[in-house]
Amino acid sequence: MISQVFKFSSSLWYKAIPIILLWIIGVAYLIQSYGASLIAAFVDVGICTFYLVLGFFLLENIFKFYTPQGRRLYIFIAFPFLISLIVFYSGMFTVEFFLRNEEAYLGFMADSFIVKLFITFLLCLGYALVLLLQTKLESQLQHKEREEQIQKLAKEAELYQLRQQLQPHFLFNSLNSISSLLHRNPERAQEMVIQLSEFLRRTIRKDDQKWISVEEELAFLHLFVGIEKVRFGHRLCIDFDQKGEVAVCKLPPLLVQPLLENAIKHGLYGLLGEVNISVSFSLEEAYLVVRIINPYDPQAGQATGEGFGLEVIKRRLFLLFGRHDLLATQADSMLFKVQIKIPQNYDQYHHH
Amino acid sequence: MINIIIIDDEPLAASLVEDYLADFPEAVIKAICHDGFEGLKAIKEHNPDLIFLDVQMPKITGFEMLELLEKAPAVIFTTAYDAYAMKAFDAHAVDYLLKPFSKDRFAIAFEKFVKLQGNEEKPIETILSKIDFGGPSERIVLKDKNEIKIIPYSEVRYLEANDDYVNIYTAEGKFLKNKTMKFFESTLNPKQFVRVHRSYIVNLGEITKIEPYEKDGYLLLLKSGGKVPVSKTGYPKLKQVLGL
Repeated sequence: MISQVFKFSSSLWYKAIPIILLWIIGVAYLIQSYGASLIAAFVDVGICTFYLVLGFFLLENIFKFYTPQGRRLYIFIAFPFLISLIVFYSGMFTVEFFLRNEEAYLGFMADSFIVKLFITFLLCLGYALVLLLQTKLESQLQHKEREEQIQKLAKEAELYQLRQQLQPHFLFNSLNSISSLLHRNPERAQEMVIQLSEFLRRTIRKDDQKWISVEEELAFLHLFVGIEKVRFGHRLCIDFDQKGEVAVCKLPPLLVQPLLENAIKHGLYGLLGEVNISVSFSLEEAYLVVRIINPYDPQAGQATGEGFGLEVIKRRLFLLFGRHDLLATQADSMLFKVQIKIPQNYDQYHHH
Repeated sequence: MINIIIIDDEPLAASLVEDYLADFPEAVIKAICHDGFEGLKAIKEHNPDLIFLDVQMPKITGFEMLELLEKAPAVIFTTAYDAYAMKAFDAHAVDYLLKPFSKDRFAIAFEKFVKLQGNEEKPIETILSKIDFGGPSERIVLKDKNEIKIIPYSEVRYLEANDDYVNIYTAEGKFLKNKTMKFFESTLNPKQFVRVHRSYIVNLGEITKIEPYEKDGYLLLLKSGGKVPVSKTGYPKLKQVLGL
């Protein structure tokens, strides 16, 4: 603070100088009221204030490099104490030099020795306290900024993920299916337009920060599967399973659907013939556990975009919970299993 | 009469092409296939003039299927990905239909084929083996006897030039692919595969020992027991990649 005042460009000069002058005048008159000469009092207070400002400056610079944390109270007190000693003694010697002819005043000074030292110490301690509060406030502000940054990133990731979802194959192939159905089965085509619209509406819903229940998520997944079944009905078989009281458990939206889409993609493109995929929800300790199992072809080499969907989900889980261990995958010779865990005792509303 | 095969893994997408073709009485649909394997079989059986081909399909892509044909028919690609358009263009496709496509757009593609078919000077049966599709993934798809093999790049031990073909050596043995060494040199990961000789590209993970050989040459001993010669120009390349 002091260092800011002493920057030449700073307009704080205009505010600081009247305050310092007012302080000097006030204290000088106070001393004078105890019977000391006014001029001597002014000199004394002026010199002491000068040293005090220097002391504050020193204290601020110390705190800039080292801020006492938590229980180290003695260090927090030690710095202002040391500085008040320096300020006090330098002030005293300088005043004694300037007022060496004012016997009466020096006598008065000797009498008020302890009081003056104590006041100097209190002032330094007060200033240290202000500095400490300021650094605390600043770190809190930084923390808030960081949190905002995280939120922004999460949003970006979500948007990115949404784009990925809606981009090429799913949307265009679905539209192509509708185009085809219009020839042969217009009623079914209309039905699919409705399904697709409902799916898209839920995907781009604005309140995507609110968690949804497993029941809602299942309804959404059924909608999605319904569309995929129009496209691949003859090959696709998806089994949903709920173990125990999971219907009311909550989870962030759009977390399971991309995983299921991934599973469907790898199943359909990795295999010929029928593809069986299983999705299960269960409550295990304080976690909602979602498992998706799909058959795949380990020999297929890297299929297009493999792993990308998983990376997005991993990232979102990290942004939501700050943990890397919530997504696990396991691949054997026939089946690919992915599992996500959603903490249920998590404060869902404050952190996202 | 134009013999046609439709290859698409989504039945509705295939039936749309079928419906659009109803407007062209000269078009005869010989088969509708739902993956590349069925497609290969049907092409062999019917020898069609034109195929409508989806790209993303089970097991092998449309591009990979084309690579397995010795003589490919004219192709019109039908896919939702415009990212493949350039590749389709390289494949000398007659046209490229982005799903969903209109009847008019479909007619333009079909008429383009009819026009090209009448043009004797420019045969549309493209020599596919000379074209580098690469495929969207890190693997080689080839025909071995009557089987189709998919070999991930990571399983390749080394490659050996063999006239117009390349011998691919893996743990399972030797396979033949009608591609050039140059093609593999440019598509394989240069940190993993090095062309150590005019006729050899080797997987670095397979090398156990480098021995001097004859005057200026070296010989690589492989984990599998094989030996691969290193040429004068190949040795500096190898040294650089290995950081020697």
